[in-house]
Amino acid sequence: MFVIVSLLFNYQMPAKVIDRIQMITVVGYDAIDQNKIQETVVSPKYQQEAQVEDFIYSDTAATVYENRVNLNAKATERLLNGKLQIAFYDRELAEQGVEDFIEYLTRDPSIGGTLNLAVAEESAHALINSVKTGKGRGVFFNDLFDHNIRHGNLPQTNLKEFQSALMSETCDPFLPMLSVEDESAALTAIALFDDDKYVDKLPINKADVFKLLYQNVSDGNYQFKNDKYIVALENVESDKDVVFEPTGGSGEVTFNVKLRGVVREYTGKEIINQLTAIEKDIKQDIEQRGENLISRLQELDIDPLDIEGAVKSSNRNYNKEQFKSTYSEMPINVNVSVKITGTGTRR
Amino acid sequence: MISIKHKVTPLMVLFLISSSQMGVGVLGFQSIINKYAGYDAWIALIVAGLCVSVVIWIMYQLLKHDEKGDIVAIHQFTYGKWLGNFLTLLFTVYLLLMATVVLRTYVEIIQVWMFPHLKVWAFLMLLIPLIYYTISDQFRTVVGVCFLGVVYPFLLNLTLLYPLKHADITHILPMMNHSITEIMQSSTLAVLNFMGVSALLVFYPYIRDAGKSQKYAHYGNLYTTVIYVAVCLTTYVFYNQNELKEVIWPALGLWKIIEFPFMERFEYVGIATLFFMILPNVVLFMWAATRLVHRTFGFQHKRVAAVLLGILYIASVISMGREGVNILNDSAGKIGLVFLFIYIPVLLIINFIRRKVRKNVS
Repeated sequence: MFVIVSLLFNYQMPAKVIDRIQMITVVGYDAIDQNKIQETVVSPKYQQEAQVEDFIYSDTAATVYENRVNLNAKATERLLNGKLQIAFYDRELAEQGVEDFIEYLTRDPSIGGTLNLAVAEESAHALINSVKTGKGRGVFFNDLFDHNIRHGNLPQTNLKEFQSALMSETCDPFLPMLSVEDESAALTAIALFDDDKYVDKLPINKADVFKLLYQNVSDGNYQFKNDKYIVALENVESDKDVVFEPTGGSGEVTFNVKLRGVVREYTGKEIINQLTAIEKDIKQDIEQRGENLISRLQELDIDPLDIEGAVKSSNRNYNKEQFKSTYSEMPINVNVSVKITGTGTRR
Repeated sequence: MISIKHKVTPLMVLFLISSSQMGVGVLGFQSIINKYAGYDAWIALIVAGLCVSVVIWIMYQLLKHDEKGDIVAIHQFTYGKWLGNFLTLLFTVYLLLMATVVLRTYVEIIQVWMFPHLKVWAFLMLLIPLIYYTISDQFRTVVGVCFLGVVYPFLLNLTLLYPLKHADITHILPMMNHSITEIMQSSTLAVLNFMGVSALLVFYPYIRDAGKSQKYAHYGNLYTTVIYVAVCLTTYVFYNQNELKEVIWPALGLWKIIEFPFMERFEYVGIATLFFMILPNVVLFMWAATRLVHRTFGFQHKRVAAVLLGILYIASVISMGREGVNILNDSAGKIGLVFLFIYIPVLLIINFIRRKVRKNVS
């Protein structure tokens, strides 16, 4: 009897029938004059035989939810967040701060933690529209991020990582930045944030050093060229270790990076005899570029590499104000050891 | 006396203790216990576990001197019939309160994560007959549920490995950066998650060779502590402390990051499996409450069960919303703290004096 009553009453719960909803996969926000946001959403419709057609809706309003009302007025079925994979913010919104949007994404339990966030250099609407793909824009962008994180220069990033860095007292977040190049979307840079506001970008082809200093790389690549030769490393693995020594006024931070890789491209001669020289050149190159990158971060007074966290966790006398005031002049060294483990199939 | 065929083996005490301790608390305690000790709060869990082990020892000291060996007999012996029965009644209310906390918190999670439109009162109608079925007959049924309540959710422990991909060890370094006082303060908050042990005072006579089961009780408590510390450490390397302040159920956040090709979101499986952790809690507390009333007043066991379930049902429906659940949790925690660490030791002392006096008289 109890069971029947219970089922009867809970039966009236609003159901979400799969044919009567549209799952949003990609969402983009653009700042349109004052206090107005343009929201663009993509919802795939599966045709027969693995064909996907994306429906794109777009509208402007003051808040995300107001936008949803407008967008739902245009959609044939109800728009839901459960499958959301990518969220884009245009540069203007990123400069104003994205914290409120993140709050919205993390409060809704139907949105997963592996959602990717990204900054659109010009307009998120144009970026989403520029994609031509047969597998749906959600899958397209997701795969784009995924393989760049696994094998490319993009460090590990998703909603969880971004939120973690945003809420952290010690470090600042970063996001991938996309723009339209030759009429198609491309990953062009890493957007650096000061708290939740965009401040600067780092071109993606120079982000390899950033990634080496940010995390342990399991399958990356590295290119180096000088007057005599060009060399490209693949299958790069690295271990990163940050050491703080409380000497002098502010103390000293050293990044120890151990790097192993296989040569895949080499324009010089007799590679077997040159290995130690190549290793040394690469070592100096990474150290040089790493230190340049860090001094640039220090100038901007941002800390996406979580240097403060490293200092805090290895120093019991850590004092936040003292660190903040000395951060921009703190001596931070990069110490790299390179080991070439193979040269491919040629002598 | 309880006949031998209704009793359970001493090993079952391990399952009874740990399944009575682990419940909904495991989803959210991480962001509660760090109030004082911050990221060092996992040490507070170890402290709390040790303290509870001491309480278990005290309980066994109390219980093994009495022939009937449960709280009703001890209360009557120590305080006389009237005061003793009154205190037993208070204990019953406390057990009911804990059952309500557990059930209501679980329903709240279902409401927030799975079915926002869920009608609590109607949903509870599904659970109440199940609970009644378990507690109305033999104690062995309850033990069976408790046994499964440890075995089924065991696989969930493996899900702690996946979030480590996003972990950052610097979140919990340097270790022991908080004072002993702060860690002790946090451990008082952590004790809420160990409180289920008090059911031992009721089911003790149902254990075969009860005196020898003490080590299993300690093992059960140890198992709980280890799991809690593992969950807590995983959470603390996954989240930074600022993030934790915002999250109500950090453990569900850990599941949120898990993704399988065939399953978009893991929480749904997690929450469903968690039911096997919730059920032993509620069932054991409700059985203990029923048994106490039955022993004190001699009413028929089944009738008492039905009445108490009615109270549980009403209490769970009334305590609506996040606020209500919070108030329930806080008050259950405070009462439990006083009960375990002040009342039980005092009871041991009074009981000890009483025994001496009685011996001298006779």
